[in-house]
Amino acid sequence: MGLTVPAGVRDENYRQAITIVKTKTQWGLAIAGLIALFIAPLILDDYFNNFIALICINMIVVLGLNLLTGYCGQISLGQSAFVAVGAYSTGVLYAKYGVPFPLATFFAAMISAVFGIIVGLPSVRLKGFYLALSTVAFQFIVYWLLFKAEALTGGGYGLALPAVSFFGITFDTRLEVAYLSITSVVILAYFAKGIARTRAGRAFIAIRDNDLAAEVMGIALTRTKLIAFVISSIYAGFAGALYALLFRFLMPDLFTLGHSVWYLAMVIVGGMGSLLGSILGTVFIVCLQEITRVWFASLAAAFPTVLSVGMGTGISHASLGLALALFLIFEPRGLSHRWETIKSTYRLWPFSY
Amino acid sequence: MIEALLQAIVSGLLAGGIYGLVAMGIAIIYRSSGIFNFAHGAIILIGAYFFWTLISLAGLPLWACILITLLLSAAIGVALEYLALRPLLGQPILASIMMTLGLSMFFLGIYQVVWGHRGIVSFPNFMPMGHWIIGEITIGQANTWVLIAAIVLFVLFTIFFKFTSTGKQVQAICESHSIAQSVGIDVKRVLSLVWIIACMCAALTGVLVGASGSVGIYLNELVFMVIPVIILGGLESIGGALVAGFIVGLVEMISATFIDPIIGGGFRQVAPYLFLLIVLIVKPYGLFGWERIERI
Repeated sequence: MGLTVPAGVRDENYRQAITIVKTKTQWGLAIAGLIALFIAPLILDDYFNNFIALICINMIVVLGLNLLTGYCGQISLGQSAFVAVGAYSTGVLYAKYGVPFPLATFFAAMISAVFGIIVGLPSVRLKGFYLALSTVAFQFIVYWLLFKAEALTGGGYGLALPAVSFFGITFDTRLEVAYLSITSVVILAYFAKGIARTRAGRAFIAIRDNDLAAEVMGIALTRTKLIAFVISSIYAGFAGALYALLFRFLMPDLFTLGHSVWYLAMVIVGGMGSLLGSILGTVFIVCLQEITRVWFASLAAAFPTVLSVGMGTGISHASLGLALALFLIFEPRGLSHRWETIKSTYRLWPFSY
Repeated sequence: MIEALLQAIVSGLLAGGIYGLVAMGIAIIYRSSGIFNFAHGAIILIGAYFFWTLISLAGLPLWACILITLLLSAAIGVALEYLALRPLLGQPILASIMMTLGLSMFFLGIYQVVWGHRGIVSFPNFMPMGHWIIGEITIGQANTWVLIAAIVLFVLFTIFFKFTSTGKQVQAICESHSIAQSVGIDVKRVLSLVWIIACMCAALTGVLVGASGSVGIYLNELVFMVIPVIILGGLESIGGALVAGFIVGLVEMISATFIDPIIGGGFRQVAPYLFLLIVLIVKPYGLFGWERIERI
C-alpha cells in the first residue's frame, strides 16, 4: 500500500496512519474539490441540479450499505425498505402532523434505526445467504405495509408533501435541494470515514473476515453486528428524508426489491469495503441509468413507430444487469481498486515496478 | 365454515404444485453449486413468452414448440454456467447472489425489449380449463395437471439421481467439489448438466403455469414467492421443495380465507414471508436441508 501516497511520506504513529488527508497536495485537491462541488450547482441548470441531488441521495444509502455489507460482511437486500421507512416517516410527520422538517428527519432516522435493530436481530443466528433472505422478507413486508396503512401513507395513491422550508429557507427549487444534498453527503461521508477508520470499523472488518475469530479476539459479536445495522439504517433513513424533500411525492413503488438490488450493485461496482468506491459506484450506476434513459428517449423520438416506451426500461435493465455481471467477472474488487491501480501506475511511471 | 376450510386446503395444495415446480429447479442448482439462482424466474418468463411466440405467432405444432423451447432453455443454461457462473467459483457468496440478480435484471430487460409491448398473453388451449365441482368445492383442472406434472417431475428426478450413473455424479458433486474431482468426476461438465436440467425445468414451468392461466411479467416474481418454500424445504432438498410447496400453499390459502376478512384483504401476499421469518428463526436449515457444521 506504499504507493497510495507519494514517496517520502511516512506514518510515524497510529494517529498519522489513519489521517484522511496526508500531504499538502492532497489538502489542495480536497479544498479545490469542495469549492468546485459548491460552485457547480450555481452554474448548472435545473436538470443537472436534480440529477446531482439524486446521485447524492443514492450515495448516502450506499455509504451506509457499504459499512454494513462491505465492511461488516452482512448482506442486506432490504435497504430500500429502510429508505422507505425514513421517507414515509418524514412525509407523514411533516405533511400530516406539521412537525418541523429537521425534527421530522431526526425522528425518521431514529425510526429507521429501530427497524435496523429488528432486522439485525436475526443476524445473531443467521449468516450469509440466510440473512440475505430474511432481509428480502423485511423488504416485502414493508412494501405491503405501505399499501395497507392507507390512512397514514396514502397507500397506492401516494403521499404528497408541501414544499419544505426550515431555517428561513424554502426548498422549492432544484438549486436549494442540490446544495442541501451536497452538504449532507459531504458530512455523512466524513462520518462514514470516521467510523471506518476507528475502532468500530476495525471490528466490522474483523467480523467480515472471520466472525468466530473476531469473537475469540474479544469483539462483542451481537452488539457490533447490530451497530452496523443501526448505522446503515440511519444512513438510509436520512436519505429517505432527503428523498421526500426532493420528490415531494412518495409511492410504495419507489421502494421495491429492485432498488435494494441496485444499492448493492452500486456497492459492488464501486468496491466492497471502500468508501471512495461507494462514491464512484453510485455515480457510475446512476449515470448509466440516466444515459440509457436519455439515449433511448431520443432514439424513440426518432423512430416512434418501431420503439415503445417499455423498451426503454428494458434496455436500461439489460445494460445495468450486464454491467453488474461484467464487473463481477472482470473487476470484482470494483472501481476503487481500478483507481488504486491507476494511481500506482502513475507514481511508478516510466518504471514498471 | 368447513367447506371454506376444505376449499382453502384444495386451493392451497394446487398452488403448492406451482410453488413446488419452481422450487425444485432452484433446489437442483443450490445443492450442486451453492448458488441461489435468482434468475430462475426470468428464465421461466423468457421460456413462456418464447413458447407463446412459437405457438401463436409462428403456428408450429405443440410438440415442436415444446421441443424448441426446451432446446433454447438448455442453451441458456449452458451459456449461463459457462460465461457467468464459472468465473465466480471460489468467490464469496455475495458475488454469486449479485450475479444471479444481475442476470435476472438482464433477462427481464430482454423480455421488456422483445415482448414488453405485448402485455399479458395467453396460450391457445391445450390443457383442459374446466373445473370439477365436488359438493361445495371447486377444483381447477389445469392446476391439477400442473400439480401432477410437478409430482411426475419429482419422480423422474428421484430416479435420475438415485439410479443413473450421471445422476450419481451430480449427487457426488453436491457433497464436495474437490472430493468429486479427486475420484475422477468432471465437475465442470456435471455443473453445466445441472444448469441445463434446471433451465429446462424453468422453461417447462413457464409453459405449464402459462397454460393454466395467463402469461405475464408476474412469472418473474415467482422466484421471490418461492423463497419461503425453499427455505422451509431446506435449500438442498428436491423432495423438500415439493412438500414445502404444499405447506406454504396451504398457509397462504388458509390465511387468505380466515385472516383476510379480519384485516381487510391482501394478507396472503405477506403471509409466506412472515412464515419465512419464523422458519428462519426456529429452524434455519429447513425440514430436509443439510445442517453443515462450520470448522475454524
